[in-house]
Amino acid sequence: MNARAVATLVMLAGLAAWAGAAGRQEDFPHAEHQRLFPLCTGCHEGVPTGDRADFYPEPAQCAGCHDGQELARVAWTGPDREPDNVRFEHPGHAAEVARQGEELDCVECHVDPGAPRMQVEPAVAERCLACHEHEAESHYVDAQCGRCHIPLATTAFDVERVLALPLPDDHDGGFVLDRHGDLAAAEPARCATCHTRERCTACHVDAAGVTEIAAMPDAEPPLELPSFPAHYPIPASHERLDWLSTHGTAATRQSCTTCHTRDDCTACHVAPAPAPVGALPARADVQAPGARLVRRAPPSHASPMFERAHGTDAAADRGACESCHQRNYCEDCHRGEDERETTTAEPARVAAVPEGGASFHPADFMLRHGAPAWNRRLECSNCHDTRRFCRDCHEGLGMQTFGRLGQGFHDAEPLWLLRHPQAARQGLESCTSCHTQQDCMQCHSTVGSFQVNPHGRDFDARRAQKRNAAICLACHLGNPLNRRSQ
Amino acid sequence: MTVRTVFAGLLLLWPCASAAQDFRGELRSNGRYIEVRPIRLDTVARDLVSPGVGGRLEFEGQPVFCNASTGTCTRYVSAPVEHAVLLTQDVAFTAWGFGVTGLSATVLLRGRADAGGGFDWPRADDPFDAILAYAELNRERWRVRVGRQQTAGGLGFSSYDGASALYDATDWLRIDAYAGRSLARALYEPRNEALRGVEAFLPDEGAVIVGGAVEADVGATTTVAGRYQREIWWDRSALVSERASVDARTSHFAPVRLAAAFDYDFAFGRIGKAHITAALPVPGRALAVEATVRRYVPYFELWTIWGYFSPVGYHEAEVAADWQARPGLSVRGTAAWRDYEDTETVVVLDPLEDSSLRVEVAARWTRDSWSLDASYAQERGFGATMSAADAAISRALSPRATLTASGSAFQQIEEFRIGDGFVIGGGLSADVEVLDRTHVNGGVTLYRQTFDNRPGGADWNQMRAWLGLRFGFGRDAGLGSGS
Repeated sequence: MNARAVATLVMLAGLAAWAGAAGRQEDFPHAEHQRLFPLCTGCHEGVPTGDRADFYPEPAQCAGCHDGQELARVAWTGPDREPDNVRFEHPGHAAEVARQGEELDCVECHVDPGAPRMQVEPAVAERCLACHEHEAESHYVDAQCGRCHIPLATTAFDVERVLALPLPDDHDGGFVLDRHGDLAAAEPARCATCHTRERCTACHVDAAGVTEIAAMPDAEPPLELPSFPAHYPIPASHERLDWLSTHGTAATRQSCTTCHTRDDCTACHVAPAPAPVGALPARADVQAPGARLVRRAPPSHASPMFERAHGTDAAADRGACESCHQRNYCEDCHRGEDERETTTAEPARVAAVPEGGASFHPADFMLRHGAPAWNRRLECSNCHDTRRFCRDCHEGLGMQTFGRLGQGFHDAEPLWLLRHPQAARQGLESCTSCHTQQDCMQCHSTVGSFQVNPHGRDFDARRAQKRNAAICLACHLGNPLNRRSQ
Repeated sequence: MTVRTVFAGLLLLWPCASAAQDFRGELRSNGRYIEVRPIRLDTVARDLVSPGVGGRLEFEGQPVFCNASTGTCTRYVSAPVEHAVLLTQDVAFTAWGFGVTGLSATVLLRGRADAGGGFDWPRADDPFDAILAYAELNRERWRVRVGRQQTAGGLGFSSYDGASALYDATDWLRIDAYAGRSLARALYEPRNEALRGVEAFLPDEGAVIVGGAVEADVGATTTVAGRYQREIWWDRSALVSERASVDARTSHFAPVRLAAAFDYDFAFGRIGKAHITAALPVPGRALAVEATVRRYVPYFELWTIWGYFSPVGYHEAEVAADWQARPGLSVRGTAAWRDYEDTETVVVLDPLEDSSLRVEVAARWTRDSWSLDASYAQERGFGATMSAADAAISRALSPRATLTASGSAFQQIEEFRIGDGFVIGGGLSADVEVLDRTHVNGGVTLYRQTFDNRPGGADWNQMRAWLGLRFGFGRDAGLGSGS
């Protein structure tokens, strides 16, 4: 199809669009007047010249018959012209056809083939295509939009009309993520047919730095645009399991600023933030809102066992913790000496309190800590000093030892001294929460009453002595590995 | 005192803040009222006691301990109720932008005071701790810190005054090294100061800590870290500790996620704590299941005699599940069984328990502004057994205010004590965000504790109350406003 034909197609399409729009208004009963008007231009005098003021007859012309006596008066003034986005004008199209030595009657576009002359209908795109072969396989995908359509920015569409623009088949689920950038660079006119720059800046954080967006025309009155909520589809890379831990290495201004402001980074990253964060624009300085990330605990944190298991995660990848948590965050739970109260039934689910505010232990833990302490799963001394915390408190509560050992506090065990070895080896930390070293040395020392050897079968005295020989002398008189001394 | 500490801290911080481009911090004030009922030794005349069960001497059904040389017997009875009022004030603060790229300063200070009552809460007499106080310089691949800091890893927390350097050698390899004056764990002071007069065999000198860690990403899904740490007395006469740890996690077998760790004590040549955990999410059923096998051996520093008493460890198998039964309703459960190693000891009469069982079931239901929590837990161990049921109902009165009512009931049996105790109680608490980043929370709980088969233990009521204020200030890097 040559260029002239295309131009013709465009003009016809415009006519079709205009006529279609007109048809949607109050229709003129052409069929009832078919014997009265031999020529279309009798009423539509301005069409061939493009004079829009004379596209339709004046009411006075109707009043020649509809005078109120012979026929009822009418107030028909012709349909309102609706804005369109088609490159078509009747005079130009007629002139083009005439240059080709042909003649084009109105009925060829406005009357179905074989129908009576005055059975007028709007011209539609199919009428254009009856003469002008469409070069595209898919009208909305591979056509040269600009040949037939003007950019949206130069139309007078209202919001409703903009929203009614068709969605091309290639604007499918992966279009925004995978293709629209390349397409915008290759065919900017196609984008501009249905979009203005405002559509780009609604989402693109870095709109000012993108050449393709800068080339898009701005919307100007009377064009009315609907509000476009920013939409940020999630790239496949972001769905990877390791994305949370690896995104830092991929983070650059170029790669992130399409969708993210620095506010997205600082939703999680604590100060001082990593270097790439500062390179991103702040939300307040750009038009698009950015993805608006919110601080959310990683999936691992949602585990019901996370509060006990997170130590390994933190030890294996400390940087991962410090990206989102300041050092003092650990102190929110690992604070040791003054447990704050929490709801009893929901002890310390860290995932639920990302800003802290919880205590590691449930509310009445002081009352009930006996069993958890004997059956400990975690090392209490990580947060509590056994001597300055546990023993101090127990002494204040009257559970200290008094000189020579008896059954004392363990009153359910009359033979406690003879039965305590197994309990001591199984729960030595609990013993030290009340007893001092001297308590044990009353018997477990070479100068004690019974000189009971406290070392287990696998105790490697030489290895231990190599690292701290001084403590051997707490119980032994002289070097215990020297047979001539104890 | 606490108020003075806070003001002193703020005055110290002010020059730092005023020179900084920006800062971020938080003030946390907490006050607690606690009632306790101590026990005391009660002397009983020898002629008032009589043989009871198994021939043991008893008074009013309670076993007593008689001293042949004095001719008197003693037993434990309840003492009058006492109370403690503890105030703590935390100041956390980070400032950055001192004209040097990547330079920041961080402090975490804590003041505390005993504000009344006859019972001395532990460490209430220690008015001030500087938990963190360091300057940090961040470069693209380097991070250096100087000052009071903490290292946390497979060996737990270790505080020190010194320097640390973290180097991102490659995208997959990080190297950490640190050294300085070692501080007592959880006390933030040198051992010879914090434990003076409290412990025997404590050298009157400080210790030095030296350590390092290597973290490596093995592929995209696995991270492994190895750590070595040694603490030695200043005069190099002996070690305080020498340990190493390995921690690893991987999602290589996704959806199964594995985490494993162990630590090794060079002084005793043994593995201390170790575990391997496999977690499996079942999205279609909104279920997450975790299975853990762990080993636990307590750790003692080498200047105490405890580690030389050959404490044994236990091995435990634990299964836990979290099920989102329906929107708003989650149920989780845990069951664990453990077995202690052979203590190689001779025990007169029957041996003690050398295994234990732990079961816990909890549920949370949320709807609109309401949430309901309920849980039941039972622990049956060799030293104590507990059965506890708890419930709490919360209502968000507004986006900024939550009111909670809770109740507890539990029974606890200490295996080596006569009788058992039963506690029932309830309370009210509230959390209100009075301003942006300013929270006030507080509550009161009342408990009734009764004893069964413990003649010397008096039933009693006790009250706990607390009030907290959390105030955040400053802002994050790059944010126009806080949060």
